[in-house]
Amino acid sequence: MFIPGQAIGIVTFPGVVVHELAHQLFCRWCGVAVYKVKYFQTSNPLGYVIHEPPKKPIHQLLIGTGPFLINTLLAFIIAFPAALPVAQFSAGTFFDYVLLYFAISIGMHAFPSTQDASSMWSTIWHGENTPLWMKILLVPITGFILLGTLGSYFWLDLVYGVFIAIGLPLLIANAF
Amino acid sequence: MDHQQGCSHCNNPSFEEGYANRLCPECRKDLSRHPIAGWVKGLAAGVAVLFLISLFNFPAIFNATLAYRKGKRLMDERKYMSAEKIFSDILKAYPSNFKMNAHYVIAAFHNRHYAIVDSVMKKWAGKSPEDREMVAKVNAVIEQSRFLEPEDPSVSTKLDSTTNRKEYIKVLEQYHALHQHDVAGMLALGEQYYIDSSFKQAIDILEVARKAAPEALFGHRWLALSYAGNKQFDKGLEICEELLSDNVESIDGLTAKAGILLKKKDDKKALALAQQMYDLAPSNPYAICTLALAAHFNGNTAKRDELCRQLHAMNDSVSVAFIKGVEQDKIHFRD
Repeated sequence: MFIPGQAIGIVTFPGVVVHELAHQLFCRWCGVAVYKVKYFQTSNPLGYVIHEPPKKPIHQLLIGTGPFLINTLLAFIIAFPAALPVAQFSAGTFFDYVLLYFAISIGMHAFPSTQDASSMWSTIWHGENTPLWMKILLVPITGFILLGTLGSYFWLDLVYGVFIAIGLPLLIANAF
Repeated sequence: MDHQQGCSHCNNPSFEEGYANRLCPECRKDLSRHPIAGWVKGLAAGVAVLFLISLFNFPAIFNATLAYRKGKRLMDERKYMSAEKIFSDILKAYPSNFKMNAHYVIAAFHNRHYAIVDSVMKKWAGKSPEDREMVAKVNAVIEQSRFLEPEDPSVSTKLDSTTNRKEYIKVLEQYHALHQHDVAGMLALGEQYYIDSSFKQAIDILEVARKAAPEALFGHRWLALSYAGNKQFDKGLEICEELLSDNVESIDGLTAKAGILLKKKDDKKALALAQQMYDLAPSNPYAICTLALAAHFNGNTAKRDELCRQLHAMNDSVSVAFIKGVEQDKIHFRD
């Protein structure tokens, strides 16, 4: 059965909104001008932020990867107290499932888009003032984003969301 | 050709250098603070509330999970007394959780805490839990309770009408003669033979029961103590080990073993074991009495007297009298 990305986007729209809001907030914290924000739409892309190219490469790195960090952290913290009762001792309440829904939605939209990768690459890799360490750091980050984009055809974004929301809390609990 | 010389937004001539877009500091600041839509603020506030709730619940849930895992590990290690305590604590947070109640019931049954078993089973009356694996585990344990009650319940009435131990034993002997395969009857008779100091008879009947139902360990305490009473200490210890292999923290097994070790004059080992048992069940009269006895034979009279006071406070006059009897050499506990 083919399920279009838009349908998944509609179901998991809180994650899209959080992703775009994270972009916007990082622009605000870095003092980068924002021209337009689309928090959510049913067409492709599901959301976007149009901003000026940042002056400092580190700002581009933060704006590009910010949603990944914010969405991942939010998904993990929101899911943790729900994932353990549900997965560990079959004691999930309705509220636990609400938490898991939000956490998985947010977690699966953590991955930056190819547009984010492209912006980072052009600003950081080709930037005149970019330090070498940042260029070195950019390569695996870009590779990771492209892998995520490629993997999204195989539901990697959903797998990532479920892993952050359920798998990681269980792994941590198992480590103790 | 670009005719604009100033800020692309307000034409302010003092735009910031080094940016791809020509903007003055004020316009850049204004634009960076692009307004957030009201509904997005509402959703963000909702997510923030969920985040805070989860953050608040994080430590309690994490600790409950660790406790649950520890409880399961203790069950696997057959440390049922510790496991029962852990599940009792977690059930305060999850009182209706089937899995935890099931572990709790299994542990309580192994610890002979039948009142707990009954109270949990009552909660399940009329319900059919989906966790078939746990249901099977509970059933396998509870099924052993058939060895606790004689098949013919009318014997209870006859036993209630007896006036002394000899009569009581006679009723049980008659019952056994008529119901030779009833393990519960044999166990009850064996216990009475032990209390009556008829160790040889106790051993005979309890060994028959042991062979008939090796999974029924209810009579093992009396069997071990009967062997000890018959001066077959190693055989008694062997029976204790059988009991302890089923429940490492069996109070019956530890009491009997510590008692036999004291009879063997292995006092230090007995004291260590009695202390271990007391730490597991500090309000159990058997555990207190055994530790008091071990303290007595190890020369720690202060500890013995303190434990006697504890028993006295619990109105356990029989145990207090027993320890006083041993102390004053009126009861000949060992050679």
